[in-house]
Amino acid sequence: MKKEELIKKLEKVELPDIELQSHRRRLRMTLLSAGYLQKQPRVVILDLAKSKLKGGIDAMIKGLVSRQPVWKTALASALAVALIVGLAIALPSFTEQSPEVLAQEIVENSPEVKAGEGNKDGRW
Amino acid sequence: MQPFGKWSVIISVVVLEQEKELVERARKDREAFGELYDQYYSRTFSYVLRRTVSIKIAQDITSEVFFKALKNLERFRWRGISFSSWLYRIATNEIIDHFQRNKRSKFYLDLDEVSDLISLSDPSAETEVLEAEAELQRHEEFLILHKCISKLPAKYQEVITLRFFENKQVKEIGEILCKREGTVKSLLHRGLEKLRKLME
Repeated sequence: MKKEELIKKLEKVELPDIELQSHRRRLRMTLLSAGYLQKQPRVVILDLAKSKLKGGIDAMIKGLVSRQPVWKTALASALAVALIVGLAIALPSFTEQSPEVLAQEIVENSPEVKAGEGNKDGRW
Repeated sequence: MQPFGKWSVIISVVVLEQEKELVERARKDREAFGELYDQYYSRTFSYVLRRTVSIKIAQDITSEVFFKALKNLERFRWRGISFSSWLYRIATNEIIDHFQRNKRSKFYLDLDEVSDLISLSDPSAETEVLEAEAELQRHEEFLILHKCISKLPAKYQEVITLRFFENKQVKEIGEILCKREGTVKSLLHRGLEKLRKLME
C-alpha cells in the first residue's frame, strides 16, 4: 500500500459517532454537585510554594540540559532554589533554642540542683 | 488568501473570545461550567472512544477528564492554548495513564464482558451501553485500522488519531501535545510510514 492510499483510507474511514445520553446526564449532575467550585478560591500557601519550587527546579534542569543552555535562567533558578533550601534549614535555628542552652536551662531549673546550691550556703 | 479565509479567521477569533468569556465565568459559576461541559462532552467522549475502542473505558476516562478539568480550571491560563486543546491534552494524558496502569488489559471487550462490567442498578443505561458497543462493532473498517494503529508506539497513535480522526491541524496537535509543529510533522511522517508497513 502506498502512503497516499493510506492517507486517503484514514481520511475516508467512517468513524463511530456514539453518544451515551445516560452517561452524559449522570456525569453532568455529578460534576455540578461536586462542590469543587466552592473549594477552589482557597489556595493553600504550601501548595503554591511547592509548585513554585518544582517550577524553579524544572527551569534550572531545562536551562542546563537544553542544547543551547539558558544560563541566566538556570543560574537564577539555581540561586532561588538554594535560597529556599537555605531558609528552610536556617529558619528553625533562629526560632528554636540550641540543645546546649536547653540542657543548661533544665539543669538550672531542676529542684536537686537548686537544693544543692542552697547547701552551699550551709543550709543542709 | 482564500475567498472565505478572512471570514473564517474573524469567526474563529469571535468563537475564541466567547470561549474565553465562558471559561472565565465557569471558574465561579457552576451553570457556566455546565455550558462548557455541554459544548465539549461529545467531542471528548468521541476522541477517547476512538483511541480506546471500548465504551466502558471511554466512559471512565471521559468522566476523569471532566473531573480534572473542573478541579484545575482555576489554574488554566490562556497561554497560546485554547480550552478545547487543554481538554484534549487532559484526555490524551488520561489515556496514557489508563493503559500504563492496565498494561495487560485488552483493547477489545466482547459484549459478554461488557454486560458484566455495567452496573445493574440502571437497566436503561445498561441497554444503552450494550447498544453503543454493538454500534461500535459495526464500524469494521475503523476497527481494523485502529487495531493496526494501536500496535504503534503511543506518540504515533496520538498524532495519527488527532490528525485523521479528530481532523486537527498540525498547529493544534502541537498545542495539545506540547510539541513543535516540526516535531508533529515528523512524527506524522514516521507514524504513517510505520502504519503503512504494518498494513502490508
